[in-house]
Amino acid sequence: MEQMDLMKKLAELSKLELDAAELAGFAEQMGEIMELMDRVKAFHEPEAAERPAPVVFSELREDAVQPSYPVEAVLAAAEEAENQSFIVPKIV
Amino acid sequence: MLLELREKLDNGKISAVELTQAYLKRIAEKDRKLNSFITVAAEQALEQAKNAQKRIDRGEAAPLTGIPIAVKDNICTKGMKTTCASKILAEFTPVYDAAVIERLRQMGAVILGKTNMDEFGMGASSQTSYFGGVKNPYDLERVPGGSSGGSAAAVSAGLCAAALGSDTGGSVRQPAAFCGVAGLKPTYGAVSRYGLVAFASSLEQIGMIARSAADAGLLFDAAAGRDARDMTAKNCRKNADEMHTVRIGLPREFYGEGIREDVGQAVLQAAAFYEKKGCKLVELSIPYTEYAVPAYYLLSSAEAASNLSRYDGIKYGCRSQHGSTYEDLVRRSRREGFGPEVKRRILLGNYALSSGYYEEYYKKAAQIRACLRRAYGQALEQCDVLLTPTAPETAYKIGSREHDPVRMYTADQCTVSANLTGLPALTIPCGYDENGLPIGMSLTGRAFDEPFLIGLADVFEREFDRKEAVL
Repeated sequence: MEQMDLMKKLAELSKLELDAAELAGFAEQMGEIMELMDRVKAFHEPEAAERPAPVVFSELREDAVQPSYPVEAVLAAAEEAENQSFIVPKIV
Repeated sequence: MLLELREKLDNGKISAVELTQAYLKRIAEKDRKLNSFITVAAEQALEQAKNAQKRIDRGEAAPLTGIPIAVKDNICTKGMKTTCASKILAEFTPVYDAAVIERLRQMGAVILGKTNMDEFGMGASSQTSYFGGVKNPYDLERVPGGSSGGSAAAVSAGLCAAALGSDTGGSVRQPAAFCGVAGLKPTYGAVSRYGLVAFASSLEQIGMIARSAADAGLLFDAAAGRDARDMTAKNCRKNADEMHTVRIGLPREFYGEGIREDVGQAVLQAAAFYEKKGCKLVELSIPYTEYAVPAYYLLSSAEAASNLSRYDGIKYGCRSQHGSTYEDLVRRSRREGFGPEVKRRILLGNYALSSGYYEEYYKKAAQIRACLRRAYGQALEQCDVLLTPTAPETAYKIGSREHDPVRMYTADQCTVSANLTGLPALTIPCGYDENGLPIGMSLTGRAFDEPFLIGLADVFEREFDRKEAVL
C-alpha cells in the first residue's frame, strides 16, 4: 500500500492521471528501476559535498527587448483560442 | 560522400534538383520498409534545391549548399511539423527554426524531412514512437537503436546525405553504431540548443550522423558556434594539428563486465590498428563509472520532469476532450498524449526531486557527476583520447527487450559518461558480428577536440572494409 501511495503522490506531482491498473504497473516497474538507482547510495565522497555547476555560461546577451513571434501564429497552435487568449475550463 | 557530392554539384555533373529528386525517390521506394521518416517535405525540399542551384550557378556555394539533409523530429523547423514522435505534439508546427536549422538554411542545405525517433528522445531503440517503430537497414527485424534511430537508419540506407540527431545519453552514437555509420556528440556548448525540444537541458546536444567521420565534421562545422539565444553555446575551436602526440586510452571499465566479447575484441583490434600507425596505447582506469548509469537516469529524468511540465494541452499540443476542470484537463491531456516510457521518466524524475528523496538521489547523482568530470579530466591527462565500445552489443531483435526498462537503461553504460562530463564523443564502425551487424567504437576527447577526433577516426575509416546494408 505504501508503494501505491507513493505512486499516487508521484502521479499528482507529475500531473498525470493514472488509473488503478496503470498505477500498479508503474509501481512494479518503479520498484525494479529504483533498485538500479539505489546504486548511488554506495557513493561516498566527502569532497563531493559541494556541487559545482555542470555548465559554464557564455557572455550573457544584452537585456534588451527583441521582436517576438506574431500573436496569431502562436495562438494558431492552441486547440482553443479567442480574443488573443487561450480558452480553458472555468477555474474560478 | 559530402565532398564528392559537393564536387559533382559544383562541376555540374548533377544539379541540386536532380540530387534532391534522387533522394526523394529513394525515400519513396525504401522508407516503407524502415519507417525512418515522420514527415517528408518534398515540395519544400525541391524549392530549396532550386534556390541552392542558383547559388551554385553564381559560384557562391557553401559546403552544404544543395546537400539533402534529414533532421530529427525534435529539432524545430518553421512551418514543418515537429512532433518529437509523440501524440501530444502530433500536429504541432513551430513558428521558428532552431538555430542549427537557420544555419543550414543560410548555407542553402536542403531539408528533406523529419526523422522518426523514440518519443521525446527517451529510449534507445526508436520503438516508442507514436508513428510506429523504425527498422534497422542491416536487418529489418532488428532495432536501429535510439533515440535518433530514424536519422541513423536514413543515413545508413542512403535516404539522405547526412542527418541531425540529438544525444542526451547516447542517442546519436548508439543508433549510429547499430546502423554502421558515423555519429558525433559534440562537446556540451559547441552547438546551440535553441530550437531543440528540451528533454534534459544540461546533458543534451544536437549531434551529427553521416556516412563518415569527415562528413559528420562538415555538418558539425556548419552547426557549431555561439548563439545569443543559448547561453551555454560558445565559440571554441581547436585545429587538429594542435595535437602532436596520440596516446589512446583504454579504460578497463569499458572492456569487462557487460560488454559482449566480440564487441570488445573488435574495438581492441581497432586499438591495435592505431598502435601499428604509431599511436601509443595506455591502459587506465576511470573511477566512479559504476555510478554513471543511475546518476544519468536520475539527473536526466529530473530535468525531463521539469521540461515536460510545459505540455498541458493549453497553449499547444493535443488537448483532451474530457477535462471538466482545468486541473482535470491538464492531467487527462498528459495521460492521453504521452507514451508509457515518457510517463515512467517523469515519475522517476519527480521521485528523485521530491521531499525525502532529493538528498539521497538527485543530490547524490549531481555529486557523482562532479566526480566523474574530474575523473575523466585526470584520465585525459594520461592520454589524448579514450577508445571504447559505443554499445555493449549489436542491434537486437525488435520486441526482445523494450518491455524491460532496467535492461534498456543499463545498456547505456558505454555512452552516458560523455553526456555527464560534457565531452565530445564520436562513433564509427569498426567491425561486424557473426550476423553481419555493425559494431561501433567511440573516441572520446577533451572539450572542443572535435577536429582531432574526426581526424583520428578518418585514419581508421580510410582502411576499414565497410559492408553496406542491402535493402
